[in-house]
Amino acid sequence: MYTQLFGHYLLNNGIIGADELHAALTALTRIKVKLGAAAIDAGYMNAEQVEEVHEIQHTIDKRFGAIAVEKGYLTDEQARSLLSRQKNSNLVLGQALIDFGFITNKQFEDALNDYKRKASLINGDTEEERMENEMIGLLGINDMPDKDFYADYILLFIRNLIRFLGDDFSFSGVSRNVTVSMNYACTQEITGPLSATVAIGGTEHGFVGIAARYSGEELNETDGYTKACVGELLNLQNGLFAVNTSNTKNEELDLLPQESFEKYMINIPENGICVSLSFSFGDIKIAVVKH
Amino acid sequence: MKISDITVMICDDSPLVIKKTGNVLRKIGINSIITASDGEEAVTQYKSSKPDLVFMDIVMPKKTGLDALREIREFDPDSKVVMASTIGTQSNLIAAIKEGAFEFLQKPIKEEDILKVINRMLKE
Repeated sequence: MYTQLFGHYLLNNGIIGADELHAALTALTRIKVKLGAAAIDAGYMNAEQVEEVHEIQHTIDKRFGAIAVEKGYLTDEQARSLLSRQKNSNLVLGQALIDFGFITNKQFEDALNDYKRKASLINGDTEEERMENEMIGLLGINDMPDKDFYADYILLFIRNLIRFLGDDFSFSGVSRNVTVSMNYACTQEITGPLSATVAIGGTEHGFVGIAARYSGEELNETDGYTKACVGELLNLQNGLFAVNTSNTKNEELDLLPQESFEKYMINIPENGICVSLSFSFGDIKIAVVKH
Repeated sequence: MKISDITVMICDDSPLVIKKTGNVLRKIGINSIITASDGEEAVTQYKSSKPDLVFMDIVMPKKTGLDALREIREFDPDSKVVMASTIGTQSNLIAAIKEGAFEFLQKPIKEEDILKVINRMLKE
């Protein structure tokens, strides 16, 4: 997550181009050590425990470290030590950009200091608030009446994409007040006090790529099974969002069955959002319109 | 009853969930598996096949899992229907228990959850 936010900052400020960011992020997937692997490497956890924590992450929106501590696999101190390694992912991204010759050490130092300064201006009291504030800033939705809803929803979606698809993506745009088209899409209605229409889709490569990574299978075409896999990811995201909303706001949400479309179009009003992401396998979009 | 004698119905509108749950069932020795992709089909299939155990999604087209559960329980009060949903909220849990669900699981269903349910069923 930090890598994506910092990468977006570098892109937005013209320090690097989209192709350069994409190349660096793709390289990161080869070299980045995941928290579970780091825990095994440090001798804190065995592979079975790591797998169990990954399984639990399918049902609750909690971080790896938090679950591992609750299960008694890590102490608070061990979790902090592993997390501090992960937080240095900005440094890893910077190193990749320097190694490729896209930026100099000085440019990286200046950019990182400026990013930290700006991030500290929007710090929240807790890690969660800080992330939510960074997401509001990243999405450029400070003026929206439902900015907290959108920030919570997109933040959770990004976490789920990282968990279930991987983190080799960059933000390629945020749109409002436009009609968005997707070659293939899955949609779902969230009903209840925070009702909304949500859609995930994109190009054929993007759509098939989501399905292939989520199911862990080799998929090459957009058939019913591919659509079901993307729909299941959307359903999982919305299920976790409903659980979070129930736990934190005491409001109960329901979901209607997912639907899939080809040549899908959705009107994004001023109080709606479409986030475009560029994965190494293709481009995808997430559209959310609160009713 | 032996584990290999059990017939299980998986009812879910997602072929991915049917495939993954089916794989786990086959892995533990259950090969008699029937499937349904919506609530309406689940009720029809149950009435014709009377499976020993049902894994039922809640959010489905045509008829929700909770409505299908209600109809199955009316038809067969001894039915054992495990409700499974990504929305593991208190209200869904309460609704499932109220309608007589055998168990409530949050999706994706894990192998150990299935084993627990099967063991409970065999004991009862």
